[in-house]
Amino acid sequence: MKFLLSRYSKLFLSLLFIIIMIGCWDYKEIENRGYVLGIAIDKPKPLPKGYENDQSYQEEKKLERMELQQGEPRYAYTIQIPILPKAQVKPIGGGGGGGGAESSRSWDLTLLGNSFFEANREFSTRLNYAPFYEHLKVIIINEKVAREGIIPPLDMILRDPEMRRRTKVFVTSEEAHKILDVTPRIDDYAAMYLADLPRNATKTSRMPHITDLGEVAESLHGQVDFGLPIVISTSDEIKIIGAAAFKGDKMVGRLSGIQTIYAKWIRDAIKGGVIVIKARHNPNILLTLELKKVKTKLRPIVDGDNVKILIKSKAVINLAEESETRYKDALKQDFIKNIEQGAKDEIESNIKETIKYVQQELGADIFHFKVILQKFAPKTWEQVEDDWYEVFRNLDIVVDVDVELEYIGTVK
Amino acid sequence: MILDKLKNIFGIKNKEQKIDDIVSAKVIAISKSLHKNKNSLEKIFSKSDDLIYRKIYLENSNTSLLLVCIDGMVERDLIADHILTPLQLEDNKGDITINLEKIKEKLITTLEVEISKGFQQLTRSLLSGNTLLFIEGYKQALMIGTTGWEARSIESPASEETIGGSREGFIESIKTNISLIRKRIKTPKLAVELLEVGRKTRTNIALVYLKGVINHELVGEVRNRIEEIDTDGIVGSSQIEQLIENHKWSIFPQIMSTERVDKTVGSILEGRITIIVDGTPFVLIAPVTFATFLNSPDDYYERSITSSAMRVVRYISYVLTTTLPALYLALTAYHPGMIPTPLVLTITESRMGLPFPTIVEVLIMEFTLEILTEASIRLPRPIGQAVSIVGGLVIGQAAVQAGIVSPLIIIVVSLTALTSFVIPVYSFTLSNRLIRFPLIIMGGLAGLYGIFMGWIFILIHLASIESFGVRYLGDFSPYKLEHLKDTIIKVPQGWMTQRPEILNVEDTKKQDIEKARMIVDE
Repeated sequence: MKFLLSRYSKLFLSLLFIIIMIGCWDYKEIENRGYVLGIAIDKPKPLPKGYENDQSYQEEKKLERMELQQGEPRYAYTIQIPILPKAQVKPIGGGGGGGGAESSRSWDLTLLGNSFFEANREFSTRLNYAPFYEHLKVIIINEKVAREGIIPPLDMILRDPEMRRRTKVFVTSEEAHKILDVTPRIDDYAAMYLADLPRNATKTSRMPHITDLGEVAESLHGQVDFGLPIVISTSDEIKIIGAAAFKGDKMVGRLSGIQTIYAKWIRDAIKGGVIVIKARHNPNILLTLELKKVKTKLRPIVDGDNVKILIKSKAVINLAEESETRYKDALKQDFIKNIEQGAKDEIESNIKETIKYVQQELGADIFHFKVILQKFAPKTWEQVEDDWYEVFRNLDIVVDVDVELEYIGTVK
Repeated sequence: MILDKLKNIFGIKNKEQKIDDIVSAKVIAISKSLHKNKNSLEKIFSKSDDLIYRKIYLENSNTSLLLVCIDGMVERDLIADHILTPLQLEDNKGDITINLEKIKEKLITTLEVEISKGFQQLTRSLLSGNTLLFIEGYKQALMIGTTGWEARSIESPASEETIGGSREGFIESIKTNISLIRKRIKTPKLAVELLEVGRKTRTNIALVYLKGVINHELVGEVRNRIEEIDTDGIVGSSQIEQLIENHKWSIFPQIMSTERVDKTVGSILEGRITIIVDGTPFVLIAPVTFATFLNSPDDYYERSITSSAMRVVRYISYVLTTTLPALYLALTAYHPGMIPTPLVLTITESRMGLPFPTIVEVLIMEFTLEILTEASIRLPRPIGQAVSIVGGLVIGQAAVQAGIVSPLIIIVVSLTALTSFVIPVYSFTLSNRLIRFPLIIMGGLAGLYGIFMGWIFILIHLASIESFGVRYLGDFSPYKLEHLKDTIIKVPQGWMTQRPEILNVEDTKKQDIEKARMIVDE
């Protein structure tokens, strides 16, 4: 019995220690957290003209100002929190208990500050549900902020344990908080609507889809240049219109939607999409080609001191649309060869143009040629490392695209 | 009497009797006088008004007889047809003598007749439902086997229904139960050892096993443990279970009890020992492991792939029934980041404005579930159904509508209830319903960390206990692929050539793979 007692008392003590020492550590009821779904980072804005004497506007703005411990506000941080209706008796099978679609289902709070962490804690003076970031879906950065560098506003977000790699990062030329203010038609929250957009990358390549915070962090830490999607919005819609090119942590310029296709092509990031070419025999006929599979390999060609980059690509396409129906020819080798050749020419020239544009206008190595040199020509890399961006601007490119037409979709 | 017969058949020696009430009868010798014998019996059985004393006088042979039996334990027709009628007919033949030998050899036409000299044996015989016949002038008495009391007929086992198995379940009579097993295992190697336990109840207990297969040390150990039992009485097999098991403070059953004949026969063939206790339809099987409690007889009646799938379902259900409420609590209160966003918002929405913290809510609903389960067992069947409807639908729905609990907790709790009924053995279900509560507390105090701490404690305990020398987790550890043949998955019947190694049987080979193959090839 004594043995039993001592043994069980030991067990009891150890259990007790576990319980006491952890002390319910961060127990928090699920409904007491403020789930931040989106963050928008803007430049602080002076009061718009005509509003100086608007009392209610002033009242609203008063809450956005916070007393800073150091310096002047550099950023305007906005967080989006979902408004959940109180648990209420819903008729069985009746779905949601009504509620107007006209009212927004999210609550967007803005604070002006120069440190996100400070602002984040300051939100708790306005919000009885303390912000919780594990469900953060999107971060939207205003273009002006992006052009000044994204590391200062994102530093805490990149390092905090509550942040998740999967958070998507976007750039906008509008005020970033306006994107969050969008009331989507179907979804409840703008943040979740926007976060799902890059998933359509299998349908179109006009938007960069590798936009996770984790990828951004990797690029920043690996000191390689990268692109992020640019969005514009109306009151109920958001659209990705192209890509913002970043050199280091600073945005240097934009790529249009079509340029984005070919930038992604070079980065071997095509998951699907569409290209339209003119038929070779008659420029009035348009051929729409669906990209099925695109595989791109980059290799350096070193010839003494001279470096070239070889872009070798293999594409499998389908003939999706043709403005002049020529089904009777569809199975002829000539017809197929013709389309393949046309597509090859078009893609090669577009790739070259896109590279030229990036080299001359942006000067940001968003194609990761640098990584290719580091990997496959380390000696050459050592030579060009110091004035890499100068070398990049004048780098010669050899493009070789092999196109294979797979399905022609003939119906007799 | 029957007992002795059975013992003779199987060549098992009678064990020395324990001190009990019947010993007091030893000192009284049988008298030549019927009157004295009657007095002796009345003294032994004072205040037993259900004893029937029937005096018979055979006129022609001038013999007085005294017939004694206990009302209700004998078959009255048997006594009338095979004792009273032959005696009268013989007497009617005219001038003849009737002596003890003649009665025993010729007149009594029942199967079992024996002569006894002492009251001790007579008393026990009488209590077993036999009829005593004293004859004037003899210092001996006859014990006639007329046992016949009301017994339930063989029915389908109510607590362990299967789809594919036999419909025969054990009943309360030990004789019938042994015959049910013997009917299925027709070999002289099937050993049936009979023991008696209980100073007052003198309950018959049979150990049934396969000689030459079972580990004989196991038989010795079980026999010793049962013989060491010194108690007033046994009313159910679970008492035997508790008196002979290794770890009395464990919540896990270390002996399986079953109503099913097919399950018992399967266990005997595998080399396990079966303990049948008179008066209860629950037969004990030992040794058992954790994995055996998650096996259902149906597994062996289905194809290996489908039954393996069902096993996997059962193991998942086991995890769910023990851990799901704790997991829900831990995830919502500590790790909401691990729940997909739409779900987290739905849960949050459903919990807005509720008065209790999640842990209280979980405990309230789990407690309600236990009340419902317990109530539905107690109540008669028609009312039991009403209670489950009231409990399951009305209380659940009303609690949600009244804004006391969230709808999600109803889903979680009903899932734990459902999954708990997936586990085939009731006593095992009970112990796992109990695990749930400490895990809820741990999950509420320390989140996932607490749940894993809890499970580590449970695993340490599981790994430390054993059932008659077989480790409880013996199927899984030490790891050997061979051991997993009949655990989470069930390999095709033809592959199960060996008896489970952990049982340490003397004859390990169960079937020949070559022969099994040949049948397949043909």
